[in-house]
Amino acid sequence: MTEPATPGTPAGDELPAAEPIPSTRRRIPLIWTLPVVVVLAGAFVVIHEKLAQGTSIEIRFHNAEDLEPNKTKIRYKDVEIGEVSDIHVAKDRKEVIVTAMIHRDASEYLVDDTSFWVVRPRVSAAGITGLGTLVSGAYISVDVGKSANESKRFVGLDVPPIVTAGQPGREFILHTDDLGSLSIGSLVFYRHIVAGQVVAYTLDPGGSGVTLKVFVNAPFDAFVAAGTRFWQASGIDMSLSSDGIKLRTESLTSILQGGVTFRALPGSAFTPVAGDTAFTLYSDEDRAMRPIETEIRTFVMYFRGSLRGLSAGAPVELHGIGVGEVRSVDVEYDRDAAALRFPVVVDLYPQRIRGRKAGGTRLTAATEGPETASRVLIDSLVAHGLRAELKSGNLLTGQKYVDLDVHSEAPAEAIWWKEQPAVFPTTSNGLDEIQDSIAGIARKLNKVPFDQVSYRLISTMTALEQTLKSMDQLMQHVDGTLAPQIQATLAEAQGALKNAKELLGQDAPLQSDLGATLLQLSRAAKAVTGLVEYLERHPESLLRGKPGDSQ
Amino acid sequence: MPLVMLCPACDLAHRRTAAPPFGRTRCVRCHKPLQVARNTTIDTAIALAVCASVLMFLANVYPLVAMHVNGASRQTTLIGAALGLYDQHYKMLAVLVFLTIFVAPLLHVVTLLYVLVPLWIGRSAYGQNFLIRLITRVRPWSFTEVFLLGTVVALVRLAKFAHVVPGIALWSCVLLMLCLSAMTSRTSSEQLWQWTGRGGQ
Amino acid sequence: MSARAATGRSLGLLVCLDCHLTMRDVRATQMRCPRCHARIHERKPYSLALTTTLLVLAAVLYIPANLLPVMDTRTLIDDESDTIMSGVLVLLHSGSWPIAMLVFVASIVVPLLKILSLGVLIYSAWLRLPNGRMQRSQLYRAVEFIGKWSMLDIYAISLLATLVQVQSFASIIVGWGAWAFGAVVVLTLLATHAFDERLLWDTR
Repeated sequence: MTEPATPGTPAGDELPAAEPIPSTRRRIPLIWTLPVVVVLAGAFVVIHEKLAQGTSIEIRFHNAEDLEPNKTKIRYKDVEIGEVSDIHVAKDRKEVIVTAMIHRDASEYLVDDTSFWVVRPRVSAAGITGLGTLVSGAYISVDVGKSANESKRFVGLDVPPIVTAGQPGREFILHTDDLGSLSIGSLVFYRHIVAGQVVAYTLDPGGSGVTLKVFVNAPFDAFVAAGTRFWQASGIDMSLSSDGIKLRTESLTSILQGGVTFRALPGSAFTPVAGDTAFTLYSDEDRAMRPIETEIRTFVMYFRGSLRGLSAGAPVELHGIGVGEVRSVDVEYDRDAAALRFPVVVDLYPQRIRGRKAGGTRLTAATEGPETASRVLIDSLVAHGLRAELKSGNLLTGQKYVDLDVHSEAPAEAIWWKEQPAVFPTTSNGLDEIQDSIAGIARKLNKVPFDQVSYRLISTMTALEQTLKSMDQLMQHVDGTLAPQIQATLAEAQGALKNAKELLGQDAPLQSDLGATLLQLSRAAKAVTGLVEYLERHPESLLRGKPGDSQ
Repeated sequence: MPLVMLCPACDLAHRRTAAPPFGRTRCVRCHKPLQVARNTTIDTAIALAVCASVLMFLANVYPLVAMHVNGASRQTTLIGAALGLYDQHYKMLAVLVFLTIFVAPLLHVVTLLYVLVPLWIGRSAYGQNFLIRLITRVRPWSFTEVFLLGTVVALVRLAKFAHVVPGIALWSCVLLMLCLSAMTSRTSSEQLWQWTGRGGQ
Repeated sequence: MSARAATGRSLGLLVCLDCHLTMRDVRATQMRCPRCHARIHERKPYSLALTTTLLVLAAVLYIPANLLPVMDTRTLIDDESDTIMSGVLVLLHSGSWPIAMLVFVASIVVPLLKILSLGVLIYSAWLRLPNGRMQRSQLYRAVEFIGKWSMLDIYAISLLATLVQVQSFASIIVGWGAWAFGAVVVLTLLATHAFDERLLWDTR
């Protein structure tokens, strides 16, 4: 239907029709952004995890005790740097291969001298360690090495290392005959302070001794110098010598597990030494601290009397000052003299005796010549009566020592330098004479004929004694009333005794009379004994008398 | 006869009509949803399925939660949680857990992709009929959301005495749950058959 | 709805439960859906019998599921056995009462309600009770929906048991209650699936 067109407006047919909005069909619906986002996020997560994953390493242990995959951690200085991911037995069945994942930021620790060990409760020479792992479970601890080469395969240690890399201090080598009570981990002391530990020991080739490696911590390693002596301070050092009993110990720890002590020799020069210098490990402080004798003269001495109590190492003293040491005590059979001799080989240290010439100047090697100085010294001493004598150092232990002293009354003697070794003159002490006297008295006493005393005398004395005893008892029973028999018997006994007295008095008859009297006495004693016995059985006869007797 | 459609819930006969433009139709008696909109694109379903597969990967490969107590720590993945029951010799229970949190969702997603992608490009997948049946039958046994809630309960109990750290898998699981429920609501049996071109009740 | 509503049964039609295709009933012993090749039945075979059996089993196992311990927590100093209920109380006491309520509802209330509801449904289906069919239908769908949420505690237990295995410190051992509980959940799920919803609407 058309309307008359109003002026100014276009005709109806020319009006455009509204057109429908074309439906723009997206090629890709909006929903696809969601999976794209998700895929990207997923990829991001995966890549992130892979990058952060860290390195996989292999550690070989002897067994997998206390280790669990996905549970046991790996720690360096107690900071977790990784975790065990897998454990399986090696193909050769001798080891266990532990695979572990180490965190990314710890991968720089993986060099070829890095060491791994399992921390679990452990009792060792250093004490009890690792108790915390009872609750938290065992873990693997790391000691990072200094090498520059990376590594992914390691061999685990069986025990924690004594010394971790980077610990300040130095190692030294000690040689000794005998390990004693030392072991790995035994402590090293300096002035009773723990200064280090024994790290390792090996038997010398040929089995001639033991070489130890000790690690001395800083700052104590600075005190190890050229003149330092090391000795074993293990346990309780007890020595029985002529000086008496000496008891020495370093510490309770060293009693239990042994230890090593070191000290600078007094008077020695302090020249510092480098690490790994070798020292001798002495067995005790005395031996260690002995100054090195520059001159030793060996002599042989012959003593009379028993050498029991004299042992090698016994001191030779001059007025109580040590000037030498007994080296050995031997037995010799002299065929010519057909006698046994007992040479005692002795080392003297003449350096300890300072010689002075007349005028006060010292006798030294410089003035007299090396060999002669001490010879002159000793010769002059001996000429003045210096003799060696065996003395008892300790009555308790019976230890003996060699005492040098000037005996002015000693007969003149000299050293026989021609013999090898030279013979030193000896003298004997007074103890031997005392022994002889005592022996003589004993012999005289032996000669007294004690077995010739009269046998009868002895038995009579015994019988008399018994009688007197019984009479005493009887007196106690009776309260005053004495039977005439007793009186008579007593009178008789008294008479007999009187007789005996007369017989044994000034005009005592000869021994044969005594014998008769003694016989009488014994008869009387027998009678009394019989009476007493009867009375004991029939006490009423005291009053009533014997049946058949009249009062 | 083709003019009648039955309600599968109450067996009531309805006159067959064309599929609605949007939304769904339902049974007049018991209100069971019957027909689906005819213009839902298949893209959404496939996009969601792709998301779900990526999320499933993340949820199973990475740890679910990590627990730190007294220096000791443990963590587990999704499958590890099922295996934990197996290790304690509750084999049937472990299998149940494994089926419901791993196998069922996996089958759901994978089968759906396998069926839908060919449809998207205009072909039908081999075994399509069986697989569409499989999807609708397996789907009710996928309990991802229940599992997540169970994990929350477990974490609350653990947090009492340990330091608990949720892992990547946990967050993936949350997103997966949302994804799966979105997928399920868009891929009903009727919808799937409609996409195959053999739709209609 | 009037009693003369046309149903598939009255019209001789069948519907496929998998693809919801309506088809003619040919009254063969075995029938297949022409579209999806699923097996077709007029009603789920032995629906009531199967559902009842599964339900009774579930009900029987519900008792040990709650009485037997589901989780045994062993620590250095302690050894605690927890049933589902005691686990709820532990959560309550430790202050996380929302979680406690959640576990309580999911693990104790829900299975019980499911069992009871299914019982009601079976009963009304068997007797073909006329009134309240809509409500019962809704009840069935609710049971279908919340069925899976009872698995909550099982997942929590499996996660705890997997994680807390720090041997020297604490370990969690799963108890038989968990197994019984899992069985209850599965059985109720199967029972729900075996039940044919259409039985609620059948008049003969």
